Amino acid sequence: MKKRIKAVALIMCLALLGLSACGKYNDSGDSSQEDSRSEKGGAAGGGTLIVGMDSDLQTLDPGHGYEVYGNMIYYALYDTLYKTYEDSTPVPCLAEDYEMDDTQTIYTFQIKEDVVFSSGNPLTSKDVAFSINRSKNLNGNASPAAANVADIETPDDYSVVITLKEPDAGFLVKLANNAFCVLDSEVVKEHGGTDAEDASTADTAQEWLNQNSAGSGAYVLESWTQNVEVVLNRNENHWGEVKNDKVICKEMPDVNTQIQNLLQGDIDIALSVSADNASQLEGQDGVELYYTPGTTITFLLMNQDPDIGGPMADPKVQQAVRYAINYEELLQISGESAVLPLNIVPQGFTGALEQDSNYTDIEKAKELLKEAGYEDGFTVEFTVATYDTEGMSWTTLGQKIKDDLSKVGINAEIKTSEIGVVIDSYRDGKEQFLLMHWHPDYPDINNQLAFLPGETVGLRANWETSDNQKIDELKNIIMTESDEEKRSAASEELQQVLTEDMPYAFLVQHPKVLGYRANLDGIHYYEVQKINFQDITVK
Amino acid sequence: MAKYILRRLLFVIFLLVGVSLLVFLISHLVPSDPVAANMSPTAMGDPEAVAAYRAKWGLDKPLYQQYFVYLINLLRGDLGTSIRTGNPVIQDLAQFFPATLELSLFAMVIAIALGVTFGVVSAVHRDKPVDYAVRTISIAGVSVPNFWFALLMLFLFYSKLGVFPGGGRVGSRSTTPSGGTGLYVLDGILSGNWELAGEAFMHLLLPALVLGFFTMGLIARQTRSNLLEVTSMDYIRTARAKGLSGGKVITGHALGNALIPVITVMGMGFCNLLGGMVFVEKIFSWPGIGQYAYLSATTLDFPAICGVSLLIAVIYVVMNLVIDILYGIIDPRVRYS
Amino acid sequence: MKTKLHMPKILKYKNFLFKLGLCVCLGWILIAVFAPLIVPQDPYAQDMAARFQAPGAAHWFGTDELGRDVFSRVLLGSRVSITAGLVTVCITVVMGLFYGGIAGYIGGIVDDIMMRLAELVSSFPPLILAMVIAAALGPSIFNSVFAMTIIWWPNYARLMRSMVITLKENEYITASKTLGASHVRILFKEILPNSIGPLLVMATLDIGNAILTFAGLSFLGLGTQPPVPEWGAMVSDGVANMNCWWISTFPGLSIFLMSIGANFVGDGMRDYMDPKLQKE
Repeated sequence: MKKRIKAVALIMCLALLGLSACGKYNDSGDSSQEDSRSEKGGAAGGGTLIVGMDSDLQTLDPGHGYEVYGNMIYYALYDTLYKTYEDSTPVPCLAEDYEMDDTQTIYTFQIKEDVVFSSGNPLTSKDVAFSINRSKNLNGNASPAAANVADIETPDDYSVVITLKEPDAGFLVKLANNAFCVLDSEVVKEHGGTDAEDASTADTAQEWLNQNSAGSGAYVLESWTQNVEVVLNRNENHWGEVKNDKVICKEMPDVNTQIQNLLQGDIDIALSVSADNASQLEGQDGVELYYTPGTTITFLLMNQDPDIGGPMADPKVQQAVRYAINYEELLQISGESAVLPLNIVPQGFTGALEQDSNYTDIEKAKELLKEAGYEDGFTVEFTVATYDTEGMSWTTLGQKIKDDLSKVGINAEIKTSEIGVVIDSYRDGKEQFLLMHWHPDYPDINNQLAFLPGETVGLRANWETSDNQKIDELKNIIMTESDEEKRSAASEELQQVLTEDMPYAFLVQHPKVLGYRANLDGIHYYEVQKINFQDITVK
Repeated sequence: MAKYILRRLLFVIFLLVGVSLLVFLISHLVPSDPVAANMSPTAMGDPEAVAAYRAKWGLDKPLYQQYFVYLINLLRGDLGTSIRTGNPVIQDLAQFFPATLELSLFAMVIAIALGVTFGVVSAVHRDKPVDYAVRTISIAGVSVPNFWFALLMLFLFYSKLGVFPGGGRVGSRSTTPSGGTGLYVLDGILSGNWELAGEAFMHLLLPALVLGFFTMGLIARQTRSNLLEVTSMDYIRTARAKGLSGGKVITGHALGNALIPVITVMGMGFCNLLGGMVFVEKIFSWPGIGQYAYLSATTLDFPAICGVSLLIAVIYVVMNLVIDILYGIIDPRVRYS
Repeated sequence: MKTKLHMPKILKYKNFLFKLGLCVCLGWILIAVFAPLIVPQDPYAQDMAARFQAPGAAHWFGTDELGRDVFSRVLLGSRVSITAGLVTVCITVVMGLFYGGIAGYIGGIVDDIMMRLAELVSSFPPLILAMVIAAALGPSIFNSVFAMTIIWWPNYARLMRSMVITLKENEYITASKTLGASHVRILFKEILPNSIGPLLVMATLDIGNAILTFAGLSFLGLGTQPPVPEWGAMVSDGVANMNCWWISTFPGLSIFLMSIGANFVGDGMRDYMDPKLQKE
């Protein structure tokens, strides 16, 4: 028996070794694999791009999409009238030109004339109208972006007239949102799509759109296997040059796995690297890191309602908290390329306010607390969800804040919770003292006005109205003024008012980090679409 | 015998109904609004969109009504629609379960093969260094945090040694096969696609090893202790006295009887696997039920939570039934208790 | 049969692994008890300049993402982890003991129903149950322990019941009954002392498991509230920074050591109590 067992064990080991010899899973030093990769590319610029990500894709129907990595795929599959790249400046894509009337509610767009969908159908204004109306009427997650559209007319095949309900200075930027992706109306209708008023119940195209694309973008959707991968193929009918033959986005929920795969060359780009574990990739052969400041802001919310907020409802306490935080050290924790927003508009948006990062002042904080009647400090419950922003763990941030606050006498007791539970209570305005983040839906100041009294986030802090009329005045200017400079000035003035009068303490704009193979060219990170596959080539 | 099986079957039905009720109640204890967890912040601001959402998922009806609707649908094979993925839960389960099944089967095979081997070796060389070494390894199997162990193994065998691939069910340059049973090795063999079968096999080995490590420990210890117990029995002494060699005694007489209780452990071990599944699947990018369960639980996706719990409970119950029946066949005493 | 006399003998038991396990467990328990006194540095003190330092003279186990001394945190963390493990096991043993004892002793339909209920509870996937309970009641040490006890007591109930069933057929029980002993007396004086052995063995083997499960729950974000150090939470914090291997490895090793110690003790106890093994 012993002999038999030993024999079996030996055979098993040999078998394993033998099988493993058949395929080495280690790219480094294995030149034959490298050659075959560039061979697949064929002509220079072709090839397959493999991207590792931790995504939450729930649909690939642009009329329904609302996920962090959704736009990365939508930008590859579909075109919109305008797209955004750097600096949140809208760049014409399908639209060649536009005109806006004096009421600032009627936009007339001229669209490109030689664009053809992947199906071969020509792209005309009716497709634009269909797509936008569909998004609006679907009542899905993407619909609010199109909610301000009152009417769309198509006087001829290549002009689109969009009438808005209210003036919106950020409209062009909004057009980059997936709600405005142009779908091939004929193909979508064939598969049950409709843009009529009852689209929310009548449209049945989502299932088909999850597995096929009907767009004019550089790529065509070959397949989507949920929680596994998205496979994109080159669109032969695209109006521009397509840099890669194939793009495979593999889902790898664990960041360490992504890093290991990147190091071994099994993926070309790792999207989930965070500032903390970027050090695993630093200085490694064949791998590069890319840092860029992001626009997602973490902030502290202090409830204005005295019944809920307790001591946090007192404006003096709120200001004391802002003075107590050690911003320099926060930057250290958050990693390279982190910046301090210090106010509602992130750095990088037009209208951001330049402020001194050395805002910390422990003495002033203690004085304010004394004035507010809390000379001996107080204890408060601090809700921190087990979540992260761009890989930065909220529990780490929370512990740092707790430490900072303890220096002025505030004892913040951390209470962790699942994000689902916290989000609910946060949206109901029931949180006393909370760590939260804000990810802009689109890169424009208007989106950030949600922090103002009576707006989305303001209400969550029970900040319904402010005695300061300036705030309302400036808000209106920002929302409607079409002159960028005037808007910017108004935004800066608004933030100066807010600096000492708001129930928030803004923490950090978290950097985005990417890991990528050194033989890739053109790597750049954009807030909306993350990676633009069209930029990237294999050297 | 038939009566015994019938009794067990009736009980199984009772269990399943009970579990569905339990699952339903517990998942509704959570004081949170799934709408908030699954709609975009701007969409939430639109009352029409929210109302449409609530109506679609029937979140407005009283609890007991919701349960009966749920139960009726269940009997029709409809597990509801996942709030998170938008697919019918049964479709999601059908998609993700094969991955977990394949992995668990492999893990069990490895656990049983290694576990029994180690157990026998350990028992035969009792109290010698080999015994201590094996016991330490088996106990290590049940003492190590599996998420940490998984990462360690990945690092060691993928990055450092390059022996195994770094996660996923197929290579990063291959695309997922569709159709078939979803068990890639089997599909590959059945369709003659040896490349697929081989690739899937290699991708299975490391996660299966990590997952099975815990169960291997359990089986090894159980085998050892049972074997020791059995070999001290009289009929073994008789066999030895008759002149049979050590090896023959063990395989011929002792092992068979010793393995009976181990069957229970194997069953327990299989269900334990489902516990460690969440971590291993995450680290090895394995799109299975474990990940699905975790994502459903944290996003408060009630239909999905109920569906997954029910599935796992069914597996557990069926496993127990099979073991009980096996016991009944092998050990006549059990039938008459 | 007085069980008291047997206990000291067990300490002389020759089994090397058993003694090793005992030393390890006692060592950790001592550390847990005296942790606040023996920590070389403040486990809560953050130091931005000293983040992610490798193990060295200043910090024997290195520092974590907030510059805290990992060695001190591991020592202090033993309190929560070991207490949680021990408490869980104690509660489940007691619960299982009573439930299974009563079910087994009364027998019949009561036994059937009680056992079916126990099986129902244990059919429920444990991790999901724990996640849901923690999400519903809020993460805390208490709730995690609560979730774990709900999952585990059926095992002990089943074990106890099966032992009670065999024991109650014994002649000396029948003898006691004939002599007029009440059921309670029989349960406490005759059945309990003879069945506690295997339960204790299972309990010691489960301590390691309990600590691991608790660590797993902390890994998922349920359990202790930061910044209180706990081994499982520390491993999960460190997992995000695998190249700073010391952050997860030392707490991971501690879990491993405690667990393995408890397991050796359990194994040893089982070997000791098995009369057949004594013959060899």
